[in-house]
Amino acid sequence: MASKTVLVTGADRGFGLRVAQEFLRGGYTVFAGKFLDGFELIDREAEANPGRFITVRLDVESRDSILAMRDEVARHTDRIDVFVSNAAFMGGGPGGMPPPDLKESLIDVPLAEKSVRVNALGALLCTEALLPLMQTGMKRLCYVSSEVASINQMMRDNGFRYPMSKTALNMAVRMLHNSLHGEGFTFRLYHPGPMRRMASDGGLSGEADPKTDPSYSAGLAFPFFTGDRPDEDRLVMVDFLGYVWPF
Amino acid sequence: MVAYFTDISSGFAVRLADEFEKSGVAVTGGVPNGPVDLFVSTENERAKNDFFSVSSGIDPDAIMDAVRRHVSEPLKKLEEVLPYLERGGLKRICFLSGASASVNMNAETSGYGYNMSKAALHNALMIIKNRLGKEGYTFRLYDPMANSLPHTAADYFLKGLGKQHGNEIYGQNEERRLTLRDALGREWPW
Repeated sequence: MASKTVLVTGADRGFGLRVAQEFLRGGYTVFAGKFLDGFELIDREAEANPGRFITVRLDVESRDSILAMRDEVARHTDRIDVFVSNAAFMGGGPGGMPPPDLKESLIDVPLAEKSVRVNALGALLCTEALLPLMQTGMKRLCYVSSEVASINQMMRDNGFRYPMSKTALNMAVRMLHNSLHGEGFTFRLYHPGPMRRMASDGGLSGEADPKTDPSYSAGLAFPFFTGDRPDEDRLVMVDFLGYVWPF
Repeated sequence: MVAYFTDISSGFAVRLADEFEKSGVAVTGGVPNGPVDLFVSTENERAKNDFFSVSSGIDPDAIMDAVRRHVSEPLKKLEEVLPYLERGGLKRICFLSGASASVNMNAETSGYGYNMSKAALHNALMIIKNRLGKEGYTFRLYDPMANSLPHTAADYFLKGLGKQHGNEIYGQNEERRLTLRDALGREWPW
């Protein structure tokens, strides 16, 4: 496989799908993690680009699924240049809110733990599984985080499941950076900004605004994920406008 | 005053409880039977199975076990104790933590469970502080370092940090902020 290769998790829809398409347009061979059933755009992209856009079944909550994904990718290539960790669990609606009377539920334990399992642990396990395929090539590890992972800038007063899971992700990436930067790996931690949810047919929810179309953020992410930075030795969280966020 | 400890079985928690009692603060656990002034979450241990690195092999069970011990269970207990804190006078929420959970400063290659779970806890507490701070609650997030200074911890948990106590820092009332401070009084970045 001569072209550069990327694996994107959660590529069924939204930002994951659009950034996978950006990589395809940029000349990469794309391995697109597929988790959801009924989302046709990812399958159509694979049908239109045989051998260049390859879907792989992936549930990042399952280590068995992650290892099966790695084995499937390894049947096609011995090298992944770029890994993009995008799969996320948004927290199951508003939750983790201390209610005014302080007597209703403060924390939904199963949903809180699922958030960490998908958003932080899943990214970590995917990274571990792909490392053997990333010993040559670009060695670029990219993680979709969020502004709500920034404790420093946290202004919310409710809903801590998703934010805390993304902070856990940032810590996992920090520790990966501690281990792997010296081996030549470079890191991207990206806040994609507000985006409308994509339905199975590709339609977007909410008010039409080109800047909340996942394509907009994905278009800005591609050069960030693939280009060089003057401060490669630092781990920084950068948003879709290029601003660095404090942790 | 009454302090609720989430666990009084570990060495540091026992010594911290002693220091509280020397200061005239009764320490309780289990189901409170009356108003509570301080909630103190003492879970702060690194598990023996949490010393892996990405090259030695990630242990997902160790990470999720740390999340349960450092986030889910303490916050569930906080939920249970909140009605009693609401009736208490001090309304103070205290958690033991560690400077290694600073995303800015962490330089470790092992201890994923401890560091990820405590960093997650810090963000959850910031959100809870944003909500409950408006209702008069104050917060302490404290790294006991080598667990050698329980009297320092007790002092930090019990004293006030507002302007009226002469602890104004750079023009800010520290009581309005959530900070992670260690046993030497140093503030750690998130």
